[in-house]
Amino acid sequence: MKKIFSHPFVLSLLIIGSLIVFNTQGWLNPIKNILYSVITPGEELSYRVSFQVNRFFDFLSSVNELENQNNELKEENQRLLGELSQLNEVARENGLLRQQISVTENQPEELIMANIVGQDSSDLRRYFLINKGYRDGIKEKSVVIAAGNLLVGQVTEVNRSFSKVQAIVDSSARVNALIQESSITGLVKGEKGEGLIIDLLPQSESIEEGQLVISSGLAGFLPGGLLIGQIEEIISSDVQISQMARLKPAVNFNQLIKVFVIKD
Amino acid sequence: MSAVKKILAIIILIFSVILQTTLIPFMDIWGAGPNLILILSLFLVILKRFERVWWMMLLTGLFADLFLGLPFGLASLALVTTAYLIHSFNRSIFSGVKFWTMNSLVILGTLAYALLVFGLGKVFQFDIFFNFKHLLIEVGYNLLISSILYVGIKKIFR
Repeated sequence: MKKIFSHPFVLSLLIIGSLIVFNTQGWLNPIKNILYSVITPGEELSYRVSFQVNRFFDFLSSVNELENQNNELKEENQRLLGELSQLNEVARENGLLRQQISVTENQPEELIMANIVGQDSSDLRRYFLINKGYRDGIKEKSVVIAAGNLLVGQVTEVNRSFSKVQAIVDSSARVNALIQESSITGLVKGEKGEGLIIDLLPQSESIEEGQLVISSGLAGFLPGGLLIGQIEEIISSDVQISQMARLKPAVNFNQLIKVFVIKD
Repeated sequence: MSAVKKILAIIILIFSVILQTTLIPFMDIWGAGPNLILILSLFLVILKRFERVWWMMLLTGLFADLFLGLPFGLASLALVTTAYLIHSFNRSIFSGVKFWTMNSLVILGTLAYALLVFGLGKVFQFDIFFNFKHLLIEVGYNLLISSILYVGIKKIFR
């Protein structure tokens, strides 16, 4: 019996088993916090270097497309300027109407800026590691966004100065969403850690490519109105109960280095 | 193994965990990339006996658990079990360490690790999806990385 327990493999399993139990009780948190504090600067530096190298190679591979992209962006910029002036007018009217009926404006959410210091993209998972933790006010299930109110994901684990974020493209991520133009609701799911799928759209409703998908804010901690992506391709057929479409994520997860955590 | 080599092995393994969560995600093809932690752990267990390096596998696995998006303990359990399986298989089938034996064991190790992560994910009630295309890409990637690292690592730890 003693021989079995002194076998390196059995001993390893026993140690891991004990540590899993300790971790569920939170007894490992002090050790984890020390390790994260020691490793994070090196991890952050390594991530920044990798990010810059990746950006450089992306730039080299896209040099030929730059002119076309530049022209497209100029056209889009013109269109957006027109939309912006219309929206400003709508906002002014909205403010006046709020005053008329004495409705207070929603308070803007308090945001915590964080740097991405690492990520795990193996086995169809997509997790980010950020350099902010509970000492900065981050809590489990806090929502993470990118500049421009783009939904990135949700905090799944919080330590003193370090948190893990599950990205919306993770295979097990689920978000209640709606199509902005028509208010049709559906469920957004991560597709193999790369893209997104919107499912459970009613068959009777009409959906089109190019429509924007935002968070509905119907369930859970997620606020509504956060941009998730754009419908790229409708992939379901008429014989299915509900419709399904592939989305182009609004966030380019390989170009992401700073995120904002919405403080509860 | 001398004390210097032990320290070197630990530094390499810690460095592999950091690279796995910083550099490797940018090298993915269709969402799949190499598993540097697994490759280096397999190298060590093939070149040295499991009995001598088990504690290094354990430390590496636990360290990886801190940074990977898996529930705590899952990566270390899968890594230590894969290392032990590959060690046992190697001792009972192959007599020496050659380029092709190393690569065959890396392929087997990658398959065993993927199955263990998937199976343990079910035990931990954590959603892990199995995708054959991703597994094939990971096997190819791991094979490429192990072929590149083979000579250097063998020189250091043989």
